[in-house]
Amino acid sequence: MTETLHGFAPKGDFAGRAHRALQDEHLRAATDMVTRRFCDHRLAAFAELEDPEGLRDRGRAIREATIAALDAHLAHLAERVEAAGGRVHWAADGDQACRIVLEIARRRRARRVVKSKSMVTEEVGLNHALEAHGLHVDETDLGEWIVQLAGERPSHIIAPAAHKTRQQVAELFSRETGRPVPADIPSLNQVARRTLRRRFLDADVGISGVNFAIAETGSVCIVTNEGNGRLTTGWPPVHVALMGAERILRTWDDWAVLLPLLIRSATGQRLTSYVTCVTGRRRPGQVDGPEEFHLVILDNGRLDLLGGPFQEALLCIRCGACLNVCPVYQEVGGHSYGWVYPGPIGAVLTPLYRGLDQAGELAHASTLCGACLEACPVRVDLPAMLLELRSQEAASARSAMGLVSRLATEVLARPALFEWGAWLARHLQRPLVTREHIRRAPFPLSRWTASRDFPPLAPKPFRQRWRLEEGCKRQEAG
Amino acid sequence: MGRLEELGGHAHGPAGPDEVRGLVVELIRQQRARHVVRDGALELDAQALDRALVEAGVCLTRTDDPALNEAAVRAAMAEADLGLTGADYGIAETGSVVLLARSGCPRLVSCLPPVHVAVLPVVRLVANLEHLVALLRVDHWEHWPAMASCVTLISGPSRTADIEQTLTIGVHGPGQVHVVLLRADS
Repeated sequence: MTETLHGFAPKGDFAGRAHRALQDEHLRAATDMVTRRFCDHRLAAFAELEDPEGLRDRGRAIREATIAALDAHLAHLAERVEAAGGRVHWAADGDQACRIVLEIARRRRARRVVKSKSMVTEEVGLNHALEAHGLHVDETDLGEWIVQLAGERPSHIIAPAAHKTRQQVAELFSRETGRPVPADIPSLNQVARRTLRRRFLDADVGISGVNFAIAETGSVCIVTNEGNGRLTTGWPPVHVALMGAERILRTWDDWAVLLPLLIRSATGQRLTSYVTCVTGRRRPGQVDGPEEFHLVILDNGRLDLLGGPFQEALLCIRCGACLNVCPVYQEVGGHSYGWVYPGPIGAVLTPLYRGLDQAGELAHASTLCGACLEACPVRVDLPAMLLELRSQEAASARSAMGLVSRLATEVLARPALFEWGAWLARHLQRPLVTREHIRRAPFPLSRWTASRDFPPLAPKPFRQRWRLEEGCKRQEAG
Repeated sequence: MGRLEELGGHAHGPAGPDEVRGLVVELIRQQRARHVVRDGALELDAQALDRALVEAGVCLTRTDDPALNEAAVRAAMAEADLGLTGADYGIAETGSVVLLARSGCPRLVSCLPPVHVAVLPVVRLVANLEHLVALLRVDHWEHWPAMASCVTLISGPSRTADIEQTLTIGVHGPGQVHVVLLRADS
């Protein structure tokens, strides 16, 4: 299977990938455990709040208002970052983002890069671009480091290596360190700490994502439990932070609302062990903190969503709560979605950012149960957007679904044709009905009946019975 | 600070300056820390702490020592067994201490060594994040751009559950966090 530069798997593969994922017993068990645990933790964390719904309402209102005036807030952010001695770079797309970072690294003659977790850097394929230019890149988030060593993509926004066993991790670490590593978790963590500590201290550039950028002071907020965010942003002489353009808050008051929403939804903690808010470069007389601070603000399709039915998607704060409650994600895991963002948010963003023709099938990777909307801390209306994507896909000339929809529209608009069609179907279905259900229909309906049984059309349709009954009633009355 | 204990951190005090000195020295002895790096926080100076530590046989490095250059301070932070800092604020709701980076108080003293001890004046304890923001504005941002280059909220020790969802303590940051509450004696 070939992949493009940014690792996007070709169209039409969701069903295949999902099917393979369903055969993988270990993956299913791991996904089950991870999602269940995160759900429980999130629910407990919200239950302890005095007014959880009120907090979500405030979070929603803040994000809505911020996105509604996104360009103004971005401009303010940029001005404040530069006033604090940082530099702001605008990247229209992934290629440009990679070029910007490469140029920074080149100017500093950088050889080694440490990274703290960033979905945006996955989105643009940054590691690949850096390594292609001879830079050595180390992921420092333990889960991200594991998937990096394995040459895989993360399978969950919050728990990237959820699909790996300790034995698999021990093997990876043994290969990386050249020494046998015991497969118990304390030893594995010790190996990670020692090995990565040396990489931190030797790094020329630290690259991080951004959980929230705060326009009020030009600050960038990064949350970690491990402490890798602090070392990545505090020790190397250069810090490059990459953010999606929508990851911005106006003020620290907004931050006081959204930070607990993010963390409680993601891991169920009140706060992660570390919340690091950096502003610009180090001040004179300081011995740590970067000499150069760069903020790369990425568009890559986000700004196109403004003013349209998908502006809603920009409210997302990347907590992963929707993944954990999604019945589809719970079964097939993250890799089945074929790109960087899995689960319900991925099913919406991937077609929007990569093209409906490439990934429109993901809008159908949903039962529309609405669990995602219920779980989302800022109430992003994912089901509405999934429906809108399906509708747009059906309207497009090429889709089979579109043909069916148009046919259905014609038939439903003509009552006589509909009645005749139903009469015909009532006769044609007879050989297909076994034990009162239609269990196996011929192609192409076989694709539906492979996993569904339908009740047959009733021998007498309701409208006929209604006419009869109304007719009887009228006779009796008069 | 019960919240801190829930997270696997340790809370001590509140105690007056002399008692705090004793507590800190005792902690350091328990940890068998031979090399201690401390930052320039004023709350650490109130108790003649430096002298007590040296007397206890500890090799002490101060990050605001004018005789040390940048490389020496960084090396001390990377090699120390224990990092000793003050704390600008504490947050009761989350069991957190909040440290602002400034000259003489580098951000990584509380991150690089495997044990972190923070002395937090009780008067700086606030209820929650909203209160923290209000105080940060009053204390610091009204004189923006004097915004600190780094504001860190520390809530317990470093942790991960990335391997098989099993919790381990002490990954990249300190595996132990002690917060000693300092009461200003009248």
